[in-house]
Order: sequence, then structure tokens, then C-alpha cells
Amino acid sequence: MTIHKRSTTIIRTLLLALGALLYLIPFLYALYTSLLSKADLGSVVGPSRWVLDNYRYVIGAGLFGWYKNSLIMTAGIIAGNLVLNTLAGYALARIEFPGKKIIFFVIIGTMMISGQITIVPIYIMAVKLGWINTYKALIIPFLTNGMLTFFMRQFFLSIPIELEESARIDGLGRFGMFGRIVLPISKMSLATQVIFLFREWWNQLLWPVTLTNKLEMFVITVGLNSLKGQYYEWMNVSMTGVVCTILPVIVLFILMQRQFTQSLALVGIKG
Amino acid sequence: MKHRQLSIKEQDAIAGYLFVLPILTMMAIWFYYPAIKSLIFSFQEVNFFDLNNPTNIGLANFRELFADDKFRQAAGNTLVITAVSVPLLLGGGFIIAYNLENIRRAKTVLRTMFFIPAVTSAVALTMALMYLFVMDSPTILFFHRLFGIPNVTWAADPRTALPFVALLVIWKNLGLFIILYINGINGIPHEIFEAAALDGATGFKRIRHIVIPLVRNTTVLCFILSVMWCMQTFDEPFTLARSGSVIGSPAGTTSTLITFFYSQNFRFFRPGYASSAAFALFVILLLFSLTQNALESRMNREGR
Repeated sequence: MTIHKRSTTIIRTLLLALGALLYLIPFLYALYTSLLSKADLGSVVGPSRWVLDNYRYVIGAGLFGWYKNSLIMTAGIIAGNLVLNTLAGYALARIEFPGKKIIFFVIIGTMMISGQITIVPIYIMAVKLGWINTYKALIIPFLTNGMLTFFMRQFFLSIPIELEESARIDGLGRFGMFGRIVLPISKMSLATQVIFLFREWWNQLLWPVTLTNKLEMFVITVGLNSLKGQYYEWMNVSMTGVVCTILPVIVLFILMQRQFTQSLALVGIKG
Repeated sequence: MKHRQLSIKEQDAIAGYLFVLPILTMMAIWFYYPAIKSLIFSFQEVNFFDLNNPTNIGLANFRELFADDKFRQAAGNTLVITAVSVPLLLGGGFIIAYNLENIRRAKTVLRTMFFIPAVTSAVALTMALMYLFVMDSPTILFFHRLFGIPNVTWAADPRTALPFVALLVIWKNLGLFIILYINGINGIPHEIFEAAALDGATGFKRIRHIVIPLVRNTTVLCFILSVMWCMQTFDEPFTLARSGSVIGSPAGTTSTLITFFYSQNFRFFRPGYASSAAFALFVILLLFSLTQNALESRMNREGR
């Protein structure tokens, strides 16, 4: 019985390992191809023939500018969301005021509507404001998130109210209470928001591709797409772009695995 | 008149309004206003180069939409992607999660490996895979010999392009469903497994009669999420299209609802028509979530 059980565990482990390896082969292949010269494409060659020319080419095409744009967009969106979602989540959880129920539905209602229906009007608004190819267009429309607000509300509901009551007795107003008592114990939830938004916006394509059309304003995903050769003989360059796009995220993910996994379980939240 | 001191309750209400004011303002400007605008556009003919003078044309956009072969093709493709991916995401996610939970070594490492595509960009994933599945490459020859799939570049052949998009959607998202199922399986109390073992429920019996029914809530959640996401497929077909060509290539076989309205606006410069297609997608998604809500509450009322 135990021997049987142990052998099935081993078989399970092996099969899963095989699956996981297959799962990542495209990445390894991309990494390998990124090191090949055009002449060696499609063949198997040893490290002595590997070159870094493709990386030079991708850097010359604007890689660091794309990183910078992605960073600015992502950081701006994260900063705004942290403030707006957290404030609103706190008010919805803890403060009583007339009209709260309606306001709750207005905020959470954004979860029910897929954001893409706003794409044409937002594009037109950006054109009229002269925002196309600016950071403003990449950041300002995206500073709120109904789901994350709901998540923060649930979190604030879960902390013991006694903390705030004793702060009230100590003479703190709402703002002091929020800043000095509540925020310091909310670090984990704030980190969850950061990681959730980072994954969503670092990998975002639809919005930046809509709101920018100048090479210098491309974010990494749009830049990568522009590297895609017209013909397959350029695939070493494309694959170099792939490696440069995914490597920073994978490193970050491996360093902060637990936070990533937790924040992604967030998609399980429903209004 | 003497200035009245505000009571704590009133002060609190003011603080409350101040806390929600920023988010309400931003949502009004950047979400509700454009959403309503989109609805209005869908009843108008809007000139992309003269945005200030739209003409009301009633239901003409919608009439054109339902008669448009390209829209039907896009809707059909979206349905195919959904119908193929959803069962595989749920089934694959459950099977891998269950097995991951029942091994001892390398659990975390393996879970991480399955999860990596879920944190990376769909553009990168699409490009990595499209260059791996090129005509005459070892990968393609392998699938050709094993399953008789034609020796063609999958991304460029009308016969294989749509399944290829589904493959991409599955590859990217499976890790997420594995995580959700792992959470679901971990939520089952240990005593239940022990009691089941005493009753002789092991192996497949245990899976069928205990695990699957007890992760039902997870399955419902995974179903809703996967349908929602598949219906909104955009990045993969967008990346597959050669630069400059119409999205949905080859020959529209990978067009989806979102690439359809994206192209209508940005390639054919018809914001009004594009909005009517966007609105159609919105209605489909809304109907789906309403149906599912109704079903769920009925199931809960009946106590399963």
C-alpha cells in the first residue's frame, strides 16, 4: 500500500516536471534564438558561435526608452490607484454618510462593465485634449479600479474596529485615524494592489497601442510588437525583444512569488 | 448667527465624502462619461476626421453590424476560442492543481514554472510561440508526424491560425486556473479526506465524489473568468497580424470581437460603427453575467 502510494507520487512528480518543462520550452527557445546570428538561424550551434548583435540591435531600436515609458506609465497608474482606491475603500468600509449605498454601486458597477467599450470615446477625448503620445494619456484615464476598491473595502472591514475607537478617544479625527492607525497596518493589502496593477499594466497592449503612435512613446509591449519582422528570417531580433520583455518580469516574479500568487488570487473577487 | 460646532457624526460624513470624491470624479470622467458616449456613438455616423459633427442614424449601425460577414466571422471566432479554451483551462487547471497538491518534492518550483506565462505579456508569448511553430521546424514536423497536422506555419495558415490563438490563450492563462484550483482544494477540510479514506474512497473515487463536488464554487468562478477573458481576446490576434496588415489575418480567421471594433475605428476610421460593435460585446458580456448570477442564486436557494 505505502510502496504503491510512493510510486504513484514519483510518477506524478515526473509527469508534472515534464509538463512544466514543455511549458517553458518556448522561453528557452527564445533565449537560444536571441543569441544566434542570422546565418545560424534554425540550426543547433554551440556557445562559441553565439553573438550579442541582436541585443545591440534591440537596444539601438529604442529598448531603454520603451522600458522607461513602461515604468513611468505603470508607476503613475499604481500611485494613483493606491491613493484613490484605498481612500474610497476605507470610506465604504468604515464611514457612515448619506448616499453611501448608491456611491458603493457606482464604484463597484465599473467591475460589471468591460473597459473596452470606453476605448473609442477615450481615444477621441485624448485627441481633442492633444494628449496622444503623452504620458498623461497613458496614465490619467486609468487611475481607478472598482475591483481593487472592493478588495480594500473587504480588507478594512476585517480589521478590528477597536483600534479606531481608541484612536477616537485619543482625540484623532478621521484623517489622523486613517493616516496614523489604519494605513500602517494595511501594507500587505497595498502591496497586493501594487503587484496586481504591475502585472496588468506592464503587460498591457490595447490601451498604449491605442494612445501612442510614435516610436519614442512606445511602451515595452508596443515596442516589442514593432520589432516583429516582416519576415521570419528576422526572428533572432524578435526573440531578443521577447527575452528583454519577459526577463525583468520573471526575475521580479521569482523574487516575490508569494505576493504575486496572492494578488492574482484576487481575480476571484466578485462584487 | 453663531457658528455651530459640527457634531462628530457630521464631521465624519464630510470626511467620507472627501474620501470618495476623487475616485467618483475620475470614474465619472474616464469611465461613465465615455461609456455613455460610446452608447450614443453607436447610434451615430461619426466622421473620424471631423469628430464634432456626428449625424444621428438610428439603428443603421446595428442593422449593418448583423448583416456584416466580417462581424459574424469575428463573433464566430470569438465563440470558437471560448468553446475550445474554457473546458481545457478548467479541466487542465483542475488536473494539474490536484496532482501538484499530491506530490511532496518540487511542489513550489513546478507551480512557479506553470505560472510564469501568466505574469508575462501576451505579445511576448505570442511571438515566442509563433516562431516556434514555423513550417519545416522540428516542432511542426513533430506535430505533423504525430497528429497529421499540416506542415505549415501555424500563425499564417487559415486552417491552423484560430486553434493557434486558442493554444496561446490556454498557455497564458492555465497557470492562473491552477492557482485558483489549488486554493479551492486547500479549502477542503482535512477531516473530510480522512473520513472518506475510512469509507474506502481513494483514487478516482475520491476525486469524483469528494474533490470535484467540493471545489464547485471554484469551478463556477473559473468558468465565469475564463468565459469573460476568452470573449475579450485581443493581444494574441493583434500580435499575430503582420505589421501593417489588417488585424485578424490570415484572411480574418483570427479576428475577434475586440479586434473587429478596434479595426473599425483605427483602420477604417468609423468610430460610430466601431462603438456599435463594442456595445454588442458589452451586451453579450452583461447577459452572460446576469444569467450566471441568476443561476447561481437559484442554485443557492435550492441549497444545491
